[in-house]
Amino acid sequence: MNPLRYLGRHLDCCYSEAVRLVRQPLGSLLTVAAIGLALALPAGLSAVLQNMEGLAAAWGEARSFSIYLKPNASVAVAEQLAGDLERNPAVGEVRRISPGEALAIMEGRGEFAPAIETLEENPLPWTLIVAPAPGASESEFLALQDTAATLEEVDQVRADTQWLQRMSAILALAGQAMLLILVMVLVALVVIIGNTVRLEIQRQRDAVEVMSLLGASRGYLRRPFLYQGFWYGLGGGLLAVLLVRLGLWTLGGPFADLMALYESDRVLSGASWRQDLVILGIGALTGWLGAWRAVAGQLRTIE
Amino acid sequence: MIRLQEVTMRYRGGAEALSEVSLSVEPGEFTYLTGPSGAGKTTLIKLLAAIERPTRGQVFALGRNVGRLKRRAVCSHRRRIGIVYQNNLLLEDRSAYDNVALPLHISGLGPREVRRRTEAALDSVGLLKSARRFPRLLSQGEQQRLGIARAVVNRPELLVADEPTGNLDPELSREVMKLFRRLVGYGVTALVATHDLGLIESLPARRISLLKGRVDSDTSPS
Ligand SMILES: Nc1ncnc2c1ncn2[C@@H]1O[C@H](COP(=O)(O)OP(=O)(O)O)[C@@H](O)[C@H]1O
Ligand SMILES: [Mg+2]
Repeated sequence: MNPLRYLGRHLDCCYSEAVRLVRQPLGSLLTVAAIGLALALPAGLSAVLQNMEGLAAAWGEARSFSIYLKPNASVAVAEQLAGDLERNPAVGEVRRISPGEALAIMEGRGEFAPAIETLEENPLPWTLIVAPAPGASESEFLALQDTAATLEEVDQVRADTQWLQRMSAILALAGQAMLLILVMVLVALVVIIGNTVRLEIQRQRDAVEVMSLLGASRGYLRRPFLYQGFWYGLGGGLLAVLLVRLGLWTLGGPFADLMALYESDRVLSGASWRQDLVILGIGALTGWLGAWRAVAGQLRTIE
Repeated sequence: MIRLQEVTMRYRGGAEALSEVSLSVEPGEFTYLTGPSGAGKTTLIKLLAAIERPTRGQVFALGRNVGRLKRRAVCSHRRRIGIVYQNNLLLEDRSAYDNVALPLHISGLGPREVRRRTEAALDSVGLLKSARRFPRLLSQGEQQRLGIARAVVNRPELLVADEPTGNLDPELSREVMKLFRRLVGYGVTALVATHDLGLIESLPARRISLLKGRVDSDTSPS
């Protein structure tokens, strides 16, 4: 058979299965709804995670680090280093805090006051608080932080990244959980679709038997059921895309309010068409796989 | 075209349906297969279509050892034989037209060819006007003719019919038999199982009689 005709038969079969499913809308819709809801769960979670990662990155940009100079470092040394830092393009601003100012800040906090009163001399060093330039890249700024730590006059460099690290850890965990959920959902979908298709094959058992008697190959007998699974999966995928888009649209307002609190004009990134395609593809593929599983088992019992 | 060599067929858990049957049918021959109910006619046809495999002995048809065919070869073998099944085996959810077109569709013919041949086959059994109707809306006789149209539509080299006139009145029976013989005139080999002796007498041809799974007689009209 020539390839064009082969393709034609596939398209033909694909189309007629779609027509058949549309003609029995209730049963098909229930299956599609189940698939759509199941797919929407990991898809929605993935969209939320993506936004959280974006959020974490946005907050990361705003973070600065502190350089504590050695206790004996002079004003000149501090000024020299501050000047060097300011010339670095990754640096936006360098705030200088003298030992005196630092002490005043501590005294102002009250809780340290009794301890400070007992001190004979000010133990605090010069401190430089370095903030990144607006356009500076994350890695550039981190590298700068590392270099600063190696300087002779520097005692230690501290970035308040703990919360960020926690957040990344949580996001990583959530990402893993999402993958796990995705895998479970996919397995469930293969089973659901497999079962639906299995019932359909049993319903059509006589027709399949007759076609087999007329010399239909396994491929021919399989084809309509595979396309049926494909359509179920694709339909479910489409529903999932709509649900995710609807969800993101609903969350868009509250998210903007939240970001306003952080003085950010970041908006919720909606589902991209690329993500939509991935969902549709996953749906169609699982549909096909589920149908394949059912067909392989059923045809053997019929022949 | 057809050759059976000491074929014995025993169904699982059943008695022998065929016992050491040997016979042969030459290309272009028209042959009746007769015998009372339970004689083994249907079993013989199932062996020819590779629906069952012989317990012992060899079945050859269309130059192939049918009992030894691999699964894929069974498919192409069945596409080359036209079979009229005893209970027609029509698909209830497809129109008469789609039922007849099915073998062509399975063989992968193009739409224009499918249309041309399907209409010709429907016409040859007088059902072209009923093409859009569904099997359950056709009479028994019409359903049987539909089964015949489906068997001949793919221009098989070998045509096998299992009591194709069982539900037809004598008039129609003769028409159907004449159709078969016309096909034989085009070089088709036909084996027709029937126990309609009147029909055989009015359209004489070679006749193989089975009795209790054995060849009882094999006579040709002089
Ligand atoms: N599927 C089967 N399982 C067991 N025995 C069968 C089966 N089909 C037919 N038989 C037996 O084989 C014998 C021949 O049957 P069959 O070939 O249908 O005869 P005919 O078509 O001449 O009436 C009968 O005794 C019948 O009971
Ligand atoms: Mg019979």
